[in-house]
Amino acid sequence: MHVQLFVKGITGSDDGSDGLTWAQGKALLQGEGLVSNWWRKRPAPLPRDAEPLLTPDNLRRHLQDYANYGADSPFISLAAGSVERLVDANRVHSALNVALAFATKHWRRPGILFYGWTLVAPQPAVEAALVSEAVRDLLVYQDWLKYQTQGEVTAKIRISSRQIQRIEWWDGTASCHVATATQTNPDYVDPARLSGLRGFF
Amino acid sequence: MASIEDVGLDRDALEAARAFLLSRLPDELDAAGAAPAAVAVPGPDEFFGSSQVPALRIAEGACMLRDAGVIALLLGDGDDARSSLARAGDTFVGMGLFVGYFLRAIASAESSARESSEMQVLLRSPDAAVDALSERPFLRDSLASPRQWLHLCQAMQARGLLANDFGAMRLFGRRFGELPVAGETGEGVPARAYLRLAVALAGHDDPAPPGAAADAQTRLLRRAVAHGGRLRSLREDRYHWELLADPVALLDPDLLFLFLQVAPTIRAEVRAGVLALDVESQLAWRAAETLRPVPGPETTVRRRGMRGGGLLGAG
Repeated sequence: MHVQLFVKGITGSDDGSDGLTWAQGKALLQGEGLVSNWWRKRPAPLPRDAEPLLTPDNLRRHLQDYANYGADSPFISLAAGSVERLVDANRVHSALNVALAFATKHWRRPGILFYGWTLVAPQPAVEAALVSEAVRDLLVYQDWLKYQTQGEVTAKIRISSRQIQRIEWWDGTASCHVATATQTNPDYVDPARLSGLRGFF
Repeated sequence: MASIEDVGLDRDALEAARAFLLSRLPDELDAAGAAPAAVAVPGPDEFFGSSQVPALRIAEGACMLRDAGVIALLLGDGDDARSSLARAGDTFVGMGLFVGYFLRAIASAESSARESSEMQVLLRSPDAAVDALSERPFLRDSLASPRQWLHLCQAMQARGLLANDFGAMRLFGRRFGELPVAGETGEGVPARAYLRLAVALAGHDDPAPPGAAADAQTRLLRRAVAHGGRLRSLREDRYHWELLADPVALLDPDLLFLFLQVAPTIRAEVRAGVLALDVESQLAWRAAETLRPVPGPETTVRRRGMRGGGLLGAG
């Protein structure tokens, strides 16, 4: 496995009517972390109830049929960027811009970005809730993915807040280059602590 | 003629997406061409998006400009499209990627003497070009890439220079002519067949074999239909489609290029054929119409003449 840094964009809302408010974003950072739509819609969700939903077919629906499946999906889309072979395909997409475009609907809304890390399996392991799927990686997922260049890594059910380093509030009417508010997580666990590198004493 | 609303795209969403792309262009874009330092590896403190490998940020900026240009084409805004595509082209050229010449060629009918000379040197004497253009970090990689060579050939066809490099084009045909380009039925067709089609559509196939023009039009329309089918498949994922997750996928650049090559003498017939197709299959033609006038220095090409089958070698 490897540790993958990610950016996750979620639509923001000043009053919470159709998106996440800044206060709600901070509550997630200090509480349950990033949760899937499946989790969010249940009053007392248990991971064991979602695990049977972690199937390749449901992952396909999350990736390619989100309009019909996404509202109750146990999966969580994360942006990690993508570079198709530059010389051959000339396509580069940064995770930050992909997440910002999604979160703000191209500056038509405010949006919240979550910066964090997740463990990624080197092979497809959809049924294992612990690891994320490297669906952007053609060495792992050879199936045709219509929007592969979105650079997605797909997490499952819930990402602990201890894996989220900070959140940012973006409002394109204020600035297209700088977040208007930032909140760091004092409980963040640096993924360097998962490294296999040991020092001497 | 099909409109963007007919294919389920919202004009306001397109405008917003274009503005977003232009608002997020990286600062490094202005440094394109200054790039050897650009291939440094990011340090451990540079995680979480505050930095990337600078060369990739320049490349991303070029991609964003190209995407903005494509969206402008979808909106029917020719001036903005030309401006974005040309700037993307300049950036790619500065990096040593031949797709830049291609983007410049579809953006503007005007070609500088320097650009023409550069492209011909690249075709005739690539080793000399590597020495002369050593500041371009991806030039050597481009010379080993069939896709980049195809872009160079497309640009030279658009500039009317292809006939002047008969020998070099034979070389391309031998080395890379089998490179697949998205074709009439969704599968790839060899690059040499693709380039021959471009030549035939431009009326540069001199003398043209009997029935060649009609055959070229038929193949062009089949490609448009195949691309339309791919767009319908993308549309099925309504969520990503409406978010404009991959603008450049909406306009197959190779198909757009072919429509731009259509000679004035057959344009009315092609137009009639296109208008009989489904709305998705009309998008590339619509974009080509937005980009006209196109480069087409008839006199330059006809000076040398090209025979069917001779341009790219046999096969």
